[in-house]
Amino acid sequence: MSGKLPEAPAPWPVRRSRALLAPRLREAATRAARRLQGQKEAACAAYPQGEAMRRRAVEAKRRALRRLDALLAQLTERVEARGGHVVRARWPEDVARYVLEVARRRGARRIVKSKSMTTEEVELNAHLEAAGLEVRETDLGEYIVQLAGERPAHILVPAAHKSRADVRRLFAREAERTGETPPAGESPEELTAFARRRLRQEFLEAEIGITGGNFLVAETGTLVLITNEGNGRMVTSLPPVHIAVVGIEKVVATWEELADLIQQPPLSGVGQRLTSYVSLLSGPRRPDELDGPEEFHLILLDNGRSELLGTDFEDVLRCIRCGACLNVCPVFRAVGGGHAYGSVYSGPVGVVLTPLLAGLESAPELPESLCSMCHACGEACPMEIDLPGHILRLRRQEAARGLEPRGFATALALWARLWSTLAGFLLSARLGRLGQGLWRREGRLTGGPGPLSAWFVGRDMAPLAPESFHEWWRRRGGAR
Amino acid sequence: MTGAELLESFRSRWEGLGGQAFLAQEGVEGVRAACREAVRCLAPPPEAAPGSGMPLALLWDDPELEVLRLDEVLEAAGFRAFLWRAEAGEEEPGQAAARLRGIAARAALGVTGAAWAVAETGTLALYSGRGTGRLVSLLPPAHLAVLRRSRLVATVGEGFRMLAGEEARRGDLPSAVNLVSGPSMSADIEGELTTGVHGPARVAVVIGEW
Repeated sequence: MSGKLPEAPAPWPVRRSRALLAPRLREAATRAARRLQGQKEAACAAYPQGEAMRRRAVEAKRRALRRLDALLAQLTERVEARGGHVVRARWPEDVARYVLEVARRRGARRIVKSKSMTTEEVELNAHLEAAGLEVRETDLGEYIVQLAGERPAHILVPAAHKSRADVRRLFAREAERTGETPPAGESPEELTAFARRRLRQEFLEAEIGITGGNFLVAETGTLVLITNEGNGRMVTSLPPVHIAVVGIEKVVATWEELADLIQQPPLSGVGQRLTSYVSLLSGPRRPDELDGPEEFHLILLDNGRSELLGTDFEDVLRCIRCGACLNVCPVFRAVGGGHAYGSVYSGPVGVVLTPLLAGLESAPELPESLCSMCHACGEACPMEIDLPGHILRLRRQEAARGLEPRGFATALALWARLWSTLAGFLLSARLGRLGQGLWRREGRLTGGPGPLSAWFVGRDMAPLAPESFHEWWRRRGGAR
Repeated sequence: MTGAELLESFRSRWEGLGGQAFLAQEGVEGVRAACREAVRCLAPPPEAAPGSGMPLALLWDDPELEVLRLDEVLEAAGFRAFLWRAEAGEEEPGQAAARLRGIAARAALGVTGAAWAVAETGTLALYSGRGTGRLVSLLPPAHLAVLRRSRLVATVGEGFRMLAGEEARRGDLPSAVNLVSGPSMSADIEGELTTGVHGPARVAVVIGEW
């Protein structure tokens, strides 16, 4: 049995129409993707030694997945030896249950979080809020998205779809709620200054800090967190309790391997050699220390991951969530970012990971519709995950299990039959030319009869030429 | 890489990330002079903010830094300097922790050492410990780190090997090792780079030999 992911906020046809009718989203997503992709290319060109490091990093991940159980056992033993707690969460509910138990025991009500895909995956915020806890996202982009009551648009740039005017409105409303001075203007500096002031207060008052984790090192029981803003450091330094929710696939054996891996997410995702901050955390504060969390809990999340071990899809577990595949994907840009995917994981890796974790039935539209088979993601992935190959494999599974929309297979079979003879092909072209006038708009073909109209949602094409190649050839006296 | 190359590479990366770097003349006095200069550049002079009282500075209580008497340098620059340690009379450890946290939250400047620094990435490594609190380099809007020139290494991997040596010596890793490469950064609002969203907006390093 596979795991569970949050349900898509709206069915696919609705998400598709929304995405395609929002040119501003498309522009924002394209701008963010181009910027990050350009930065990556520049950074890699100036850093040739990064390539050997990347190759070793892939091998390190490959080795780790081959002996995952042994590494997790070693990691657990090391963390517990320092007084930390380790639990395995098979299902999303297990995470929420454990966190609520810790909160109840500590009498905690206020929680601060740094950005974490695993907690999005298990909808932790919703569970905690339902139990009456206050949860605050502290990554600037996530904070904006949380105040707007939305979902992130990009794993690296959650608020890529928000303009500075949007942000100012949200902050002004929050200022009113908390009695704070609102931002002085809408420049990114002024908005950032407001967020610093407001969130600083929340950091100081919080009783529990929750993070994800980018890597785990088995030999010393160390959790590795990377951030640029420093909110990861805040969340793991100020509250008396730190809880990390980390996918089981994040573990590697040694620090030597970590040294090769640690630069890969920023290099591939945003073109930095290292993020501004890397926190290497080994257990709670020591008895003689005057800051740092008194309690450390590590929740190792499975949620369908272990079932991918030993399958054709195992390499997906090497993903370091760098965002490189999103930034090169033409479909990701065309649909205006992550919202159209309806999953916490968007872009090419989301197209693969979502059905693998939650079952193909839950999101058949992802491999089917949100890929143009251009293979750019396969080239961009620093961990050499076979993303295009997996999308094809998933499409084949869909076909074998009859998961395509009703009539899809029949329509394709009819089309194949029609075009497998020259007469059929010529007939369809002639009919098309006769009928297309009905759907011509501004020199483009924008619709078709009956079931064909579905294809034209969000697409158009050049009209059929008044004379086909065959006719032109014959008119010029060409031979068969 | 030779020592000079390591230094040059580190400096250009660190400055490229938006940090300031100050090279000290050899010896204790040289480092103190460079720190004076760095403090002047990092934190606005107290007279620029009249009525706000004396600005606070928080300093690691680190045996390596002790001989530099940086508290005196800070006091001379117009700061009230505090060391990261329990004072006499604070028997309860929680008492000292709460007081220091309050100072960190109000301080204009935090001063730390650095265990090592990576030339290739422009990165400082800070170990947490008894006298070396993590909040000192995190809560104040400006951070000054004082680095021994001999602690420059070429790659992150070499830095990790120094950490392994430390682990062997102490019998354990520090509870937190923070790698810092420049100021706190965000590009979350329209892709425009801003500094200081959570951590320090201004960071400087003094590199010396003492």
